[in-house]
Amino acid sequence: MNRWMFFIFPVAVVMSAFTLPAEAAGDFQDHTQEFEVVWHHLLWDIGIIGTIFGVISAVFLIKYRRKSPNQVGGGPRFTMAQSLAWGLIPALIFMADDFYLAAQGWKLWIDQRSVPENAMEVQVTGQMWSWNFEYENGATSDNDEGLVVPVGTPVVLRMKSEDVIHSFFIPDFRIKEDLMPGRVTYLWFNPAKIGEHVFTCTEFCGTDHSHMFGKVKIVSKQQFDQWSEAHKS
Amino acid sequence: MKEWIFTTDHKRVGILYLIGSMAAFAVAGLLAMAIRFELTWVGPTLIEADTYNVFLYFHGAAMILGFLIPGLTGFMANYLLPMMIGAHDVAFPRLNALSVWLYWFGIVLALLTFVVPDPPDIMWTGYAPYSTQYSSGNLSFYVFTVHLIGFSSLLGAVNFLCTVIYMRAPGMGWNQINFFVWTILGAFVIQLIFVPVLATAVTLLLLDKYLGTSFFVPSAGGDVLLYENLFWFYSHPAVYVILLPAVGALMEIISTMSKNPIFNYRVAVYGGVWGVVLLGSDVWAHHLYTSGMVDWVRIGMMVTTLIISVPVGLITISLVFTLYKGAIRFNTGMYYAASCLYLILIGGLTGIPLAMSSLTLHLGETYFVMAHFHFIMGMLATFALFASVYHWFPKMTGRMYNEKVGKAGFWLNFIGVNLTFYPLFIIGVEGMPRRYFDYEMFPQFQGSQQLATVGAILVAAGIAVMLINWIYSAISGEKAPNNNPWESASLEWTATASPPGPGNFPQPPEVSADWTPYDYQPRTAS
Amino acid sequence: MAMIVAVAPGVASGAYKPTVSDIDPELFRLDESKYLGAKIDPDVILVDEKGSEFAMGDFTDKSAVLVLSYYTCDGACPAFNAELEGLLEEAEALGRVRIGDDVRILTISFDKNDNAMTAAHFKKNMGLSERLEKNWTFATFKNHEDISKFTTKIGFNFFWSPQDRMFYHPNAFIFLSPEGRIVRVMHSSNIEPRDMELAIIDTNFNRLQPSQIIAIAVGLCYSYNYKEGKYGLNYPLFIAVGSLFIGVGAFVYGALKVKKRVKSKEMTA
Repeated sequence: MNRWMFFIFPVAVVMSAFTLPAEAAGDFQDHTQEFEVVWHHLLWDIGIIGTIFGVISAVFLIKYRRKSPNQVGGGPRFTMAQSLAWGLIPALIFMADDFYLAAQGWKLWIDQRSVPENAMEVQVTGQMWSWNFEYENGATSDNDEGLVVPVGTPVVLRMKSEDVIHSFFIPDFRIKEDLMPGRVTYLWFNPAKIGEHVFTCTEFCGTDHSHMFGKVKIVSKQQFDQWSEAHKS
Repeated sequence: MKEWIFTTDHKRVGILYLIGSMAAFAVAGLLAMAIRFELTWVGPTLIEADTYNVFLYFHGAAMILGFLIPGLTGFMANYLLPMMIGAHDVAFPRLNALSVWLYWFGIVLALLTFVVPDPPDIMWTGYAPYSTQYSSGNLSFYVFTVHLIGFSSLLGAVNFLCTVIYMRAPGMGWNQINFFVWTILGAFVIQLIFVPVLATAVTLLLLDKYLGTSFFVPSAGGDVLLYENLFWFYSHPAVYVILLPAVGALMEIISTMSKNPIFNYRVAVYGGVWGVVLLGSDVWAHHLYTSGMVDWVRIGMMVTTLIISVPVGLITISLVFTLYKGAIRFNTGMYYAASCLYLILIGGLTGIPLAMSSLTLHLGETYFVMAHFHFIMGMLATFALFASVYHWFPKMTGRMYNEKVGKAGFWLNFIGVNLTFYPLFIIGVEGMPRRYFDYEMFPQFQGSQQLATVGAILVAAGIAVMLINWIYSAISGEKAPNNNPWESASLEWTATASPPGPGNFPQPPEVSADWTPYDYQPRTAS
Repeated sequence: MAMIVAVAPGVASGAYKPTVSDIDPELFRLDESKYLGAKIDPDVILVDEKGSEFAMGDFTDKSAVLVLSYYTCDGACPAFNAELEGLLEEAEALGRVRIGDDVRILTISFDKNDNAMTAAHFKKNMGLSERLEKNWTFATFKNHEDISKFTTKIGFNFFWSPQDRMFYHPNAFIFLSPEGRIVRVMHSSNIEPRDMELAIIDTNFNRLQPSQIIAIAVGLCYSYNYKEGKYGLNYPLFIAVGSLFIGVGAFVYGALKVKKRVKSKEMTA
């Protein structure tokens, strides 16, 4: 029976290799990059667990086919101690993996929720079925015009809803947060490079739910200043 | 006909549950096909957005409330549980009849969605304030369906808990009952505690909409977040109401078909099943990671949600290692059961990123979530139900199903579901949101959507083949060679006829202290 | 100007009550839904009543109640600040929040003629208890151009009436989170100590301390009503908790019935 430990052990070994504090220093420019790293670790993690279980299942299914009509199984019968060991050891391994993942997720979470001091604040208002943006300098915009932001300055979105629950999602920045009527929620991201990214609504809000989308337009500082002058209301 | 309508026999009640749930499955499945065809091309093609939303609402509500929960608890518990524990019937047979008819009324009411002028389009979650203040959809249909089916399963819960506690065969100790019975106990304990909370939450929605109260009206002191919490406080444990009986049935089938006792029964029961019940009630807020709750709640629920992998992992180990040194015989039921070992891996492991609040910030409300829970509920639980129908088919009908046709249906289904949901996982990670009628902003996803539609067509064909096989074989299949064609050691096979008559057991069974339902070793003594 | 002149002064009561209908009373309410979550500029330099300078951001490292007043006011402002004093003491007496630990108080004058001296005078006249005295700062803006920037950002409208020789302004308690964001705005006149307590709990809600567990539980039992600016009991929560017993109760009833039946069968057997 002990030879089955052989299959579970590599998981623990690999897992502990991952917990080395290589990324613990965490010099990420922003949480979007950090997301990629955590996501990558996670894919390895579940990939390894999945492969181990998958291979064991496949081997068993092929190897232990019935050879004669009256054959019965010869599976193990456990004493209480063996039984407990077969419960506790896997439980501890799973738990170790859980805490490893929880630690990574926690760290990323803190970064996702800690808005940098110098962030530019944009008020986002969601309604059925459009978005409105209000800038600190008085400029306004909507989903047709797009969320125009200057490159290099972190942006914090302070969001509220006029009617039902909506959710503001920018897939390329790996973030979303709901707009809850009666509450204020926030999101932040770092527009590091000039370019365009889709944003869209991800909480069901009626007929045109799937048409509440637009572009985050990251432009140079000068372009942004020009644009916001032209869009002051 | 009359004897079916007025029946109080648990086996007939069980069959009635099966027919009802398969009807709900068929309607909701057809709607899923309409949804898939609509999504095959960018832009509006087949149906209008409002119709699409109604279809989506009905697909979700009918699959979960009409098919999965009644199929896996109603049908399976009714048909199998009393026989497994050696009881002649359930504790309250007439209550049992009432609960199946309440359930049928529930489905009929749900089907009326397509007849009333303003069908509900509020998704199966019915989030306020959309459902109460903004949707023109007929909220009362949703609420009363939940009430009927909820009340039905509450009665079922009381009934089956009493049955297991008081009506086991003489001599049958708690460590001798079938694993499936334990999972049903766990599922019904969850139903008993949490169903009233859902019923309450939706009742308050009803009052808000029609009587002008403001329980969930944010401008008048109501809290929208509280509705979400109450809804998921039941509806997350509801996932385990579906999952537990599914793995319970799989364990029975795998054990029987590999002629092996369940691997580490005690840990699977006390750690696995009851661990799921205990932990499963403390993780609901992972559905609300992006709902603007305070951060410490999200961190706390991330930890509890990750830890749920421990009991589920223990159950999975028992499922897989029950095969170890077995004598596996493959029939259609076992095909489905073996494929479930793979489905639980994909479905379970893709749940881990969704347990992490920080990854859910991106993955939440996308096709990734959708594909994840379809792997668990739409495939694992559904395949477990199909496996059970095949496995206990000779018991229910006294006839054998067609093995070749059954296996053909299996391969269509199995290839189909993978073809459908793998592409959806991938575009989910890339950001495709759920519940979208159109995906104008993501035209690059059209190819994957088309692949998924091809998969869905295969599944539809597979289901059709399977249903034809069931119906044809039930009427004129080959007679079962004996009462126990799979040579099981469990009471429902060894001590009853196929199909069992009234009262189940010709002689009331009694079991000895060393009896277990998984004892396949040839008796040397006696 | 004519409009302002037409307004009769409402000095005696704490709340501003316009007596002439052509002035919009909404002008003297902060639109909570619009400014909720707004961040108070942390870099504004203030001067406290002792004359020492500090940045707004340094003050709001804990939750705070912010009041905008002016110190030469002889009626409404002292009364209003005194109302806050009373509410805070009664809220603390409820036993779940502590002045100093959970909340500090900051009164800032929006009058550019105020200085540390008028602030000190105003504070002295209030006759605060020792603890409140320590945790309540009366400040003025160091740079006068900050005043309008600061007040427009949170939608605080005020103007000077030369005829009445007084400012017209909202009387509002602004609750700030430790991050310096507006969590609640309450207008005096109908606030009870419990509302004060719950608003303070709300400002701290994101920072769980195990010792605050009871405060948090109390916070959950109430929900905020935007229309009335008050807290009310969170009825759905109580109803839902109550419903938890329906199923369990049904089971206990069923189990007792079966038990009786089994017993009577054993008796006859």
